[in-house]
Amino acid sequence: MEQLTSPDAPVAEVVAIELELAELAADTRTGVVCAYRGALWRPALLGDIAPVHSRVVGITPDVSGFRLRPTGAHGYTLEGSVGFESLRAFTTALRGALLRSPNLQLHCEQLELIDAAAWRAMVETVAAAPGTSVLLKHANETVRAAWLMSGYGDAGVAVQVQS
Amino acid sequence: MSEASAAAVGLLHMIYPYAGTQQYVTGTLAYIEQARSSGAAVLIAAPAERHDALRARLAADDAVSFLDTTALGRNPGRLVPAWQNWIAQYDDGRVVHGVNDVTFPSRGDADDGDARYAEWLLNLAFAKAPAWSLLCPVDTSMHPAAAIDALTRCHPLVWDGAAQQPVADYLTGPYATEDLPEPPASAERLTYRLGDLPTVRAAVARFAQLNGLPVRRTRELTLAVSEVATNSIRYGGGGGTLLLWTQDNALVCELRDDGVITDPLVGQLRPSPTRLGGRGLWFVNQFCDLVQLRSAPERGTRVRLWIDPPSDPERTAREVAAGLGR
Repeated sequence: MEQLTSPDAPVAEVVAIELELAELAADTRTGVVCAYRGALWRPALLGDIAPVHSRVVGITPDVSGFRLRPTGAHGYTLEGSVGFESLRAFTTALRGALLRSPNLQLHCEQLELIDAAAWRAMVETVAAAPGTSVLLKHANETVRAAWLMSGYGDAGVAVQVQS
Repeated sequence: MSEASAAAVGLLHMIYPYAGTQQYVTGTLAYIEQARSSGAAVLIAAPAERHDALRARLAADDAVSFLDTTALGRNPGRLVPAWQNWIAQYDDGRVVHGVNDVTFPSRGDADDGDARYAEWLLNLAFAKAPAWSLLCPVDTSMHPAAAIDALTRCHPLVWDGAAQQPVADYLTGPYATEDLPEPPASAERLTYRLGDLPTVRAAVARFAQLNGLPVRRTRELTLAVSEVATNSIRYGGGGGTLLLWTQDNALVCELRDDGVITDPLVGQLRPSPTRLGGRGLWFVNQFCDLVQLRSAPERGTRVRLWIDPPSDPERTAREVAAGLGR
């Protein structure tokens, strides 16, 4: 990846490249391996970009509990559990996805849960990018219930959660 | 003595100890009729069989409404937001007079104190709310005298069937909650810090599945534990200890940390939609069947979460849905 961008680049820039690659891979049904030389890249950055990949192998431990990645035709999936431990990575991935797809549709068939801190992060991220919106589709009952309980929807936030 | 009139501001909260259905109906109707004569709206939260007993003696008009108590489920921690929801429906200027005829299923000593505490918290939660009053009937034949006395001290007023009087030894606070009994020695134990949250969630999910909890309830318990563990990490010294065990067929998860929670109403009030944050313990109270929170300087915080056995998953689903206030 150091051939595509500098290891000193902001994480948002790296995520943007990653998502573009992932979209290309999804659209063309091609497998892409993103190789990062461990000595060149900051561990924190590697942790933040891990969730936009379908798999992580190598020497950097993958501690993120979720995946947010394109699945082709401007569709994205959100999988796993989005918790406080991966807030920075989640926010980074969400911002990157909203830049590429301002009316973001997240397919959530494999999403287990989103905690209160992550709902807040989602609401703040969408509010900070006027004109963007997030639609979570096929969310399970727990995700839907937590969203309703949060009450954020009553504040007119451009986030919707559907079964 | 005075009639059941609402204060200028806040809640007039009165207990009504009665013996037998006849006394229940007579005393409750007296409260309702006084409210009606003052032009108040009356909300009766009571089991369905009570509805019939009272409805048969009430004139048909729109001053009295009967409420479904499903939203309360089994968790006394939902009492405050339930009444918050119910009285919010009246925005026509009428003073609300409520009847809080709600009995939470008891786990014996495990949670009697928490049901009383929930009653006491009503005084705190509505101290600055628009004026309203709430009558809490309690059948003296169903509880030991000491339990009735303890419950009475959680109410500033007592209804004698015709009028209200102050409770001389009302607990003005701070409320001293009972200590939690120690978990069994066999409880599974896990310490956690920030990077361990996925491990915590995995351990809870495994524990729930091993004990036969359905998928949806497993997710809810996992989310609840994750929220409390996150609080430990953020406010409780960076980490804590999780204990898991079963008790009387219920699944119990306790989280301990070095933090101190000073707000007695934390997680009890529905958050304002425009307020960012402050939803973690709110979720916990909505998803769990009982939440026991103990916190004090020098002793830290213990939060014990209960999920009852999955005897009626449909009922649980209805409770969660009703708890959303939809």
